[in-house]
Amino acid sequence: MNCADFESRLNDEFDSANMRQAVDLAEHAAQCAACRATWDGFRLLSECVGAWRRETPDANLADAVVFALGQPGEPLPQVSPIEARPSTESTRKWGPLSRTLTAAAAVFILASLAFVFRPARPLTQPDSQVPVAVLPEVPQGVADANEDRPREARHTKNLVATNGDSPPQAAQSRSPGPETDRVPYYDLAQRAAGALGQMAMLVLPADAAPSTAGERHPAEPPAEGPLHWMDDFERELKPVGRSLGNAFDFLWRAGESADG
Amino acid sequence: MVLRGLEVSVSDEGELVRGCLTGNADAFRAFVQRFQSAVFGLCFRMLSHREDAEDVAQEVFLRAYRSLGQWDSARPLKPWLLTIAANRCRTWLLSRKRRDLPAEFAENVADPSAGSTRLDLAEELQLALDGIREEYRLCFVLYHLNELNLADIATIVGSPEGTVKTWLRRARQELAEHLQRRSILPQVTHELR
Repeated sequence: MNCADFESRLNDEFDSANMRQAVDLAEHAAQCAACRATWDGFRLLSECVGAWRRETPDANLADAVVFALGQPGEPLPQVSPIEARPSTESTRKWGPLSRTLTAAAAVFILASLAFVFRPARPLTQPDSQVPVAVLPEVPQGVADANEDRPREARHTKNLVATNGDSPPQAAQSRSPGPETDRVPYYDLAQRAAGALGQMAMLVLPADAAPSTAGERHPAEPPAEGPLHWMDDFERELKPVGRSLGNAFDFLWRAGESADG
Repeated sequence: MVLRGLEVSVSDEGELVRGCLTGNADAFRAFVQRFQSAVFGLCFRMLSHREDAEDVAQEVFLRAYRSLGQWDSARPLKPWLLTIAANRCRTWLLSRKRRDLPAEFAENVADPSAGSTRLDLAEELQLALDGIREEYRLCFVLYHLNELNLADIATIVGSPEGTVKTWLRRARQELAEHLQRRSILPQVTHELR
């Protein structure tokens, strides 16, 4: 017998209250000093447990409790009748199903998140779908009136997206030359306006009219399928993009004025 | 209900409880007298103070009376009562720690440092019990004084049976070491029950 076995057996024999009759325990305790100390301690504890008196409460405890509940001679306040504890059967019954539903809900939420945060549009689109900026035909009277404006100012608000049937002409509206010596913020505003214009063209449908303040676009065809809310979302964002474009246009003109 | 070889009729308990639920004072008095020894014994061993133990025991029976409607008649009554008692003792000990020790309490408990004081074995064991963790003490008292089995103790303390077994072993180990440190001799004269 090793010391671990001794300790385990000692507890078992202590439970059965015949520790003194365990000869093998006594033999091991005689050989091992540490186990000898444990043996002596358990023998002592056994003696103490045997000497444990059963404490009795005050003889009037029952009367005191009954008196605390009500007046003598009167019936005690009634409590609700015996009823079974709340059954846990319903919880157990729904347990596996609730786990399945939780897993399905988690999958649905993850799929929804993946769909919402997917790339908005593929970077490469077929040429026929890539909208490009073209210059609309300007009435002659308006064109004459614009002759005294810079070329960029003339055409910024007239950019219209098409389906790319015409060659891109937006680049033609930004000709290098005298503009290259302008102040840096002017170039920055120009680039920003250009980028915003590109973004607006991606959002705008090809046949949409040029944006003007207070003008409503013709009614767009209702989106089909369960994802129409995405189109509604885009439709809500269009005015914001237009407003930003107007703001950059204003900055551009301000820079132009400052330039002289 | 099986109390380590002692069979107790559950149907008698049901009759007793039904009598209490009708508001019969005599039935409830019999109910208290039947379980007061077990409840008070646990409270006294846990609190080491007679007056505190009587107060807690009275509170246990009052709470038990108000909760008798929730008792599951398919289960034995004694472990249910001792569960209430154990919870009340824990609460009492917690509140005792928060407040200062009253003067009469200090007189009631022997000073462990006073090694020259000769106590009988039962008092030595009570003194040793005061020095171990509450969980160990509760398991030891429920097992050796109230003679409950490990399953019932596990239900009362709200821990797995294996944990209760471990606590019980550690309680014995610590108690044995404490008694040895106090140089208690087993052959001290005492009356064995």
